[in-house]
Amino acid sequence: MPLGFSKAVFGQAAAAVSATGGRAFTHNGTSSSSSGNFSLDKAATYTVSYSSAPFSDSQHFSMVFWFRLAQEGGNIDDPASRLIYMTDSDQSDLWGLTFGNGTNVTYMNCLNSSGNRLVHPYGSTYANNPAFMSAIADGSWRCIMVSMDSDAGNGIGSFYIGGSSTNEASGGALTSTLNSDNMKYIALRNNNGGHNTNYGTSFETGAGFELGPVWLYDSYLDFTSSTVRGYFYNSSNTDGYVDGGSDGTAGGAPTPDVYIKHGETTLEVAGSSTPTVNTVTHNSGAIVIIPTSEGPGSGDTI
Amino acid sequence: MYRVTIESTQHTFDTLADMVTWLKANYTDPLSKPFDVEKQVDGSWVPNPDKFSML
Repeated sequence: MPLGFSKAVFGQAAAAVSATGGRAFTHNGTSSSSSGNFSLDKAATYTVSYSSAPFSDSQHFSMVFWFRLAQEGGNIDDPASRLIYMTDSDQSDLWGLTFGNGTNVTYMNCLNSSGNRLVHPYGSTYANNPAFMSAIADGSWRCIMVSMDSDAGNGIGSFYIGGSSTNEASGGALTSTLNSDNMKYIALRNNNGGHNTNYGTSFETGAGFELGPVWLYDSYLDFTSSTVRGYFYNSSNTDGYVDGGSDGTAGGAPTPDVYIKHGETTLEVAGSSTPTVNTVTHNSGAIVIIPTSEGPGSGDTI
Repeated sequence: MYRVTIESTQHTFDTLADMVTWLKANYTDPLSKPFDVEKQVDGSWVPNPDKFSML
C-alpha cells in the first residue's frame, strides 16, 4: 500500500490521497481457511435481473472488468470463483468468467444444451493457472479484456490483461449458439443469478476480491487492436484506468449492452433497459464500498 | 439416450440428470472442461436439444 493511502473501511473517513479513481465493491466476510474451499462467516453481493434480456447475439461475447485480488488463497473458492455470469432462469444457458483456484482453470465459457466451450489465458505468457494467478493476484488494480467469437479465424477469441499487448487466449471454437435472449440474469461474485433471492455459497469470492466497473457486450470486440484496448486501459493513467463515465463510453468504448459500476451508495447499471438490482446476503453480511480514493485509478493496493 | 464427449472420452447416460450427476462427481468444476452433449434420435447422434442445468 503506497504512502498516503489507507485501507478502506466502510463508514470511516479515508485518508487524503494523491489520485482518485472509480469505485468498486466487496463484502465484509472473513474466510475461515487460507486456501482451498473456504467458508465465509458472512458475505453479500448484488443480483441483477431484467424483465427482458439485454442480450440477443448467440455467438459473440465480450467482457471487460476491473478488479483487484489480494491473494488467491481465501479469496478464490475451490475449485473456482464464478465472478460474472449471464444466465437464463435455470442456468442451462450461460456465459461468463471464472477464476480458478490453485491449478484449476481460469476461463471465459459458454454453455448450452449441446456443450461447453471456453477460452483460457494460457496461450502465451502463462503456462498454467498458478503462473496466471501469481501475475494478477498482487493486490493492484487489474483490467481483463476477453472475447469469444465462433467466426473469428481460429474461433478462440482474445484474452488480454491490463496493458499487455500479448493475446493470451487459448481454447476451443464456439461451435453452438446460445439463447442469449433468455439471459435475463447476471450473477456477480457468487454462483446464484438474479433469479435467486439468496446468496450462493459456492463458487464465491472472499472479501479480498474487489470488483470494479464491468462492460458486457454480446458482440465481438477485437482486443487484438491496441485502439480497442485503449478504450478500457491507458498506460498513461494511474493503474491504466480509463473511466467509462455514466454509460461506459467515456473512454471511447462502443456502448455496452450492460455497464455495471458502483456509485457512491448503490450499484449502477446502464444499458438499453433498466434491471432490478437486489442485495443478497449470507449470515447478515454487508456490501463494502471501495471509495474512489482506493478504487481503480487511485494507485492503491491491498 | 444421451452422450457426453469430454477429454477425448465418451460416456452414455439414460437421462441428462444422470449425466449432470456424473460430471459433478468426476469434475470439481465441470464448466472448466470443454465438452459436447449429443442425443440419440432415430438411431443417430445429434447435438442435444434438451436443456440441462445444475452444473
